[in-house]
Amino acid sequence: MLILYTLLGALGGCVLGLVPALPVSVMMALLLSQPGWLTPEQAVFGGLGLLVGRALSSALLAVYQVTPEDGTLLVQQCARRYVQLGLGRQVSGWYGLGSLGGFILMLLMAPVAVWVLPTLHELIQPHWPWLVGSLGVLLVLGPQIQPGDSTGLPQLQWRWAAWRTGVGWLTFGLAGLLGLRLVYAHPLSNAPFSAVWPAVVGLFTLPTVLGQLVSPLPVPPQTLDKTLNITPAALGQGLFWGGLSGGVAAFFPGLSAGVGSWLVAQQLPPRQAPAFMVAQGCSQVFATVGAYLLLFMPGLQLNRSSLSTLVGAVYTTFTPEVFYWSLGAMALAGALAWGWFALVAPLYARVAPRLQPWMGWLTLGLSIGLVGGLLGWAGLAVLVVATAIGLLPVLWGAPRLSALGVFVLPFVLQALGWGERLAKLLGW
Amino acid sequence: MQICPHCGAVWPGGTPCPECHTPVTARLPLAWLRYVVLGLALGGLGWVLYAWRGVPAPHATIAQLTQGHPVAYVEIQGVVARSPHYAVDTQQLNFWVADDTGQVPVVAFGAVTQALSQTQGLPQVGDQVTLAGSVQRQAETLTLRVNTAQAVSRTAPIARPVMLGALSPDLILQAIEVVARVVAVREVTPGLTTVLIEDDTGQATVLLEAATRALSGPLPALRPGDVVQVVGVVTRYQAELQITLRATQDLQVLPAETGLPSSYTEPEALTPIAQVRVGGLAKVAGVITDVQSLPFGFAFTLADDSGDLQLVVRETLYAALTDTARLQRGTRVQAFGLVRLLDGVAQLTPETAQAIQVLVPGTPPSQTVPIAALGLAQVGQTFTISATVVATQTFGAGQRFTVQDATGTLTLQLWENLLGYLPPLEQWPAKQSLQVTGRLTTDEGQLVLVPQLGSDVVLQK
Repeated sequence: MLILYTLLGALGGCVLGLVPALPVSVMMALLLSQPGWLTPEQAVFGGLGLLVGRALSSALLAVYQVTPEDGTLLVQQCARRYVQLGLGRQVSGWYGLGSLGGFILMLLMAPVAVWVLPTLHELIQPHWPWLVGSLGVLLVLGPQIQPGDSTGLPQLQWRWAAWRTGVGWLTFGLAGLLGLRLVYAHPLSNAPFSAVWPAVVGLFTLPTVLGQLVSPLPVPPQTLDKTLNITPAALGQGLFWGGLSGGVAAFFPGLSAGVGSWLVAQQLPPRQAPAFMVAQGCSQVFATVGAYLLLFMPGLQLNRSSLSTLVGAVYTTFTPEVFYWSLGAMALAGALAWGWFALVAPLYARVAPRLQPWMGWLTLGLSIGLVGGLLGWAGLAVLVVATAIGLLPVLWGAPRLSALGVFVLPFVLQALGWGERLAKLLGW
Repeated sequence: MQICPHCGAVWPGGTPCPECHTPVTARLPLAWLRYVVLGLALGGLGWVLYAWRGVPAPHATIAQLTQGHPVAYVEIQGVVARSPHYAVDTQQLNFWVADDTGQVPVVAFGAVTQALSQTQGLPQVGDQVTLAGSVQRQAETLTLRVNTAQAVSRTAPIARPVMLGALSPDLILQAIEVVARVVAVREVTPGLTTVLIEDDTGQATVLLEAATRALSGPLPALRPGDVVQVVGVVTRYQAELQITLRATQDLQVLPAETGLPSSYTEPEALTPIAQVRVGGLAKVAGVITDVQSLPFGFAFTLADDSGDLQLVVRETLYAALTDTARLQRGTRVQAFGLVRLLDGVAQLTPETAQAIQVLVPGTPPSQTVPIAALGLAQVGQTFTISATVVATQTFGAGQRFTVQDATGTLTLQLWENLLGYLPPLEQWPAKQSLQVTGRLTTDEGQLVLVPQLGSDVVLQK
């Protein structure tokens, strides 16, 4: 019976995944807020289904329309070129293949992961702050100043690159400060889910939406190629790097799917589109569904996502049986979601050009409506400020993933014990 | 070349758009937008942070946390229920906070623990605390994590002087001060020390936990017979009440010639009942308004103008009183003894018969009521009836009689201890007439009259 809830959740995730600005944690929180709607066991498996369904269907939004969240930002940036060439169906197909590969990889790796991950966690745990902090520094610095740039670039371009790096740091710092305030003693205390949610919408989703509203890029008619046009080597490469990157994002605390996506981009350039998109799909599955499954892993039981926090508050009976049931449920849900994706993707490719003018306004309206309705004026204030911070890298050409400081910086500061001093300094 | 921002037409420029005639004059430079957004980001964030200064965290009870309260950052209020655990190497502080609805473990790390230690000291058992923190749930464990020392405010409890006989579950997590004599000192497990102390009224165990010793140093040298002053918090381990030290400095050895308070020493002055101090000796005077038979004696409700308490007289003490028949409802009594609190009710327990003095004897009730007038609406009240015994039945704890008057029959229940104050049943004539005062109760739907004192039953000729 619980498997049925997973399948229903998967279908629900597939459909609701096409609604922009509606994360799974918000969906689950709204369901759990209604007394008697869901038992804790139903919430566990239903939430898993929602995640699986949304992991696949959100690719359609990311490829053709707006950016749902940080994890699909780079997907949209890479896919834009191919969509303009009418090859959006190919790109979404690669992403879907990567997601399917991610489910299969997780199933195959689970028996080994149960044995390895708890030991790995024990070894690495004391070093979390430095590892995550280093990733944060790389996030900002990585693509800006490359070795050898200073000898090859004209003076002006060097100064411009340095300035963009500065804006990247500024974005990282401002987003981190906002995230820290939301984590420490946030006035969004009635949020039945992560208080960082309105900041994430403002930092990642709305800047893209506003850009598209100001400078709309029409989606031309898409060709509906019946083949996926990918070599086994590219598929293997994509699955390998996607699994590794998404796994890091799931396993390390303070990281989100966006970091997994960024790690993929460090290994595979976007011009290698087939492997890149496969890796992005695989990374998204590992970073979202995999992070959720870590809550159930025997010997580990890590809380690595906002959905885990929500479900973990109502469900406390974690046994090895539950973990293996959830793996099986994920496999079934993944198969159902893939079948839905295979049916809907060509349809969506046909209607995307007609949807394009409206999706931006729909996303904007939904974002403001959801945040304002659930969190009030305080939530809207966070949304506006976060949007302004998220627009900085867009307008100055800095890396947009600098805004991941909203997750990384609070974790690093708290883990190192510096959050207390900063909070005292700022009068919190 | 110029692109029209309205219709997209392209022309050399310098004139309005030839297609839609939109005037293309001054266009907002992108740099302006950049600086506006930069200003909005910096100013907006600054304003939001400033506006949120001092916004209080929402208050929650501990039951709301354990029931999966959705709020991530909450404030709770309660008392520190156990001695804190402090890991010096990791500077991790763990302690439990309890309120009326439950208990929750609280944790603080590193810099927060340091700041707490330097500013207001680490929370100790018995402290009233108000703290705010992040609710963290992992597997089946719920923890409240304190992120900043300013989110914690603690008030050390004020210790009340008590005698050991006054220790009761009502005093759990309250601070007390005791002067007693050391009986024994034991190291129960490495780091956990117990000191058995006693005074005139009872014994108790003083507990020093390893974490407390680590923070405040070792106990002074103790020997059996030493008189010590102990300030600690009443805690419970299984069924035993203990006194947990908050710091080793809270146990002090007094000079050997220090006398212990005695429960046999009559206080000089009378204390209004409302002002009696729990844990100490008090002398009170009042009128007995009610009586309750207990398994080990009797509880007389003693009332004066300010309030009432229970005068608890043990069976052996009651039997030693010279005029037991005079200790009844309406009697004005003066008594002294140790005051304790049990289930929220103050009880005064005299130790000797000389501690109880009848000032004005009460008058036995003379007005009787017919049995037919007694019904379920009168359950809990005290009545006097005059009736004849028609049947007798023994039960485990005494005797039941069926009594009858002109208006009806009623069950009379005498506890075993009261029978000792009456002639033996074998000497009772058939159909013995008696006048009985008792409390009306029910037993399996039937009305039962239950006398509380032996003098409540008067055999009539």
